[in-house]
Amino acid sequence: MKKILPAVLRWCFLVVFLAGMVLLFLSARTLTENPGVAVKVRKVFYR
Amino acid sequence: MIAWIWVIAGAGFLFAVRGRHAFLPRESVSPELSGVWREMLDLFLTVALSLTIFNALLLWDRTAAAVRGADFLVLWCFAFLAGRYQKKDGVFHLTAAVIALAVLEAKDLALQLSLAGAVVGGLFLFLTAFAGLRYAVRFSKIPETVRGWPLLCLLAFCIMTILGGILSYIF
Amino acid sequence: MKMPDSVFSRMLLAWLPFMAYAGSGVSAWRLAAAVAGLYWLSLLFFWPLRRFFPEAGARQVFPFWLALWGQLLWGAAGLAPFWVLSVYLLFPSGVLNARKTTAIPKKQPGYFFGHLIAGAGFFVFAGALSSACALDPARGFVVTPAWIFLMMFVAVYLWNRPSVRSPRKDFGAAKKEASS
Repeated sequence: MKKILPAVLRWCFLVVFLAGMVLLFLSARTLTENPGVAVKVRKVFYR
Repeated sequence: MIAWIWVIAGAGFLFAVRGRHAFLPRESVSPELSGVWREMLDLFLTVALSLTIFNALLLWDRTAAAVRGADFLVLWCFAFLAGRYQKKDGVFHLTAAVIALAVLEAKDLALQLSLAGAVVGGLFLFLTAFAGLRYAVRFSKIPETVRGWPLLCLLAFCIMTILGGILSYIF
Repeated sequence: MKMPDSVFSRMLLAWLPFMAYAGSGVSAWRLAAAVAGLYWLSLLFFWPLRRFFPEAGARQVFPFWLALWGQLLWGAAGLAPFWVLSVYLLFPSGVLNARKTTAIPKKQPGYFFGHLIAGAGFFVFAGALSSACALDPARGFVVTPAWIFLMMFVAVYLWNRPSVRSPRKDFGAAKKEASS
């Protein structure tokens, strides 16, 4: 039981971490979908 | 507009330096070109698989919008799965994904696959020339200061001097 | 196969994806800043959390993390995601192996700071190399990949000269690995 629990916790952590990454990505994408923001971000990289 | 000759030069040098142990074992008596051929075939098949599934998903109305909005992510997922199945590392499936995305500038799947084939063909030529030259240089007296990274850069310079001209007719 | 882990080798390999942006109008310095920024962000996220992942979990999650960032800037700015390959190549492979690094706890604080400095070093290296490669030696000269490799040869040769560097620098390890 001792050996299984840490493995289960680790996998739970992995799932939570992945879900958190995807949520952050979706939030950031919603922000950048604003045309004003997109133009500014593009100007940062392109001369 | 992607500068394909530059992509081939950069990716070719990356694969040549990264994969040198796979392509040219120290105790080999000849340049291991079969390793180059297998790696490039794997790369082309991974890119082709990602593109084919991507284009298939675009045909289905329910997934088309979502797939178009996350095109690189979708291509990377398929490249990752195919790469993991082939026991390849992160550089392989990231390179396959970026090549697949860049190739999407051609609208038709047939054109995309042809372009991908041409790019991987260019990589194959670069890597073959690199493996051959590295093997030949082993029998030459190279000064110690030039051995290692300077020699690799010099080999790449020599190859791209000729290959760049040839590839400019294709791309 | 194991990738060369010395800082200079990683920086040189991480610069290679910059070649894909030739002629696209992307500012090399800003791209290098983006790569260094994501490198630091990745280090800050994955360094403390790597112990909590399952076996080899961090090694699989890291490319997904990079793919998300690549998609974000591709969708927002139309920046082709070759730059995430730079971050992957720059990132030290040992950081994602939780089991091995716990064996040397005393060295960890300095180790982490060294990795942070590598990001700043890459920014300067990539920006300087891209600027040097963009210089036209003569009017009407067309910069080609061959020219870039020649510039890289000159830069690496000057770095490699024994009078320039001290023998303790880890570039010697890369030289031994790369010599045929």
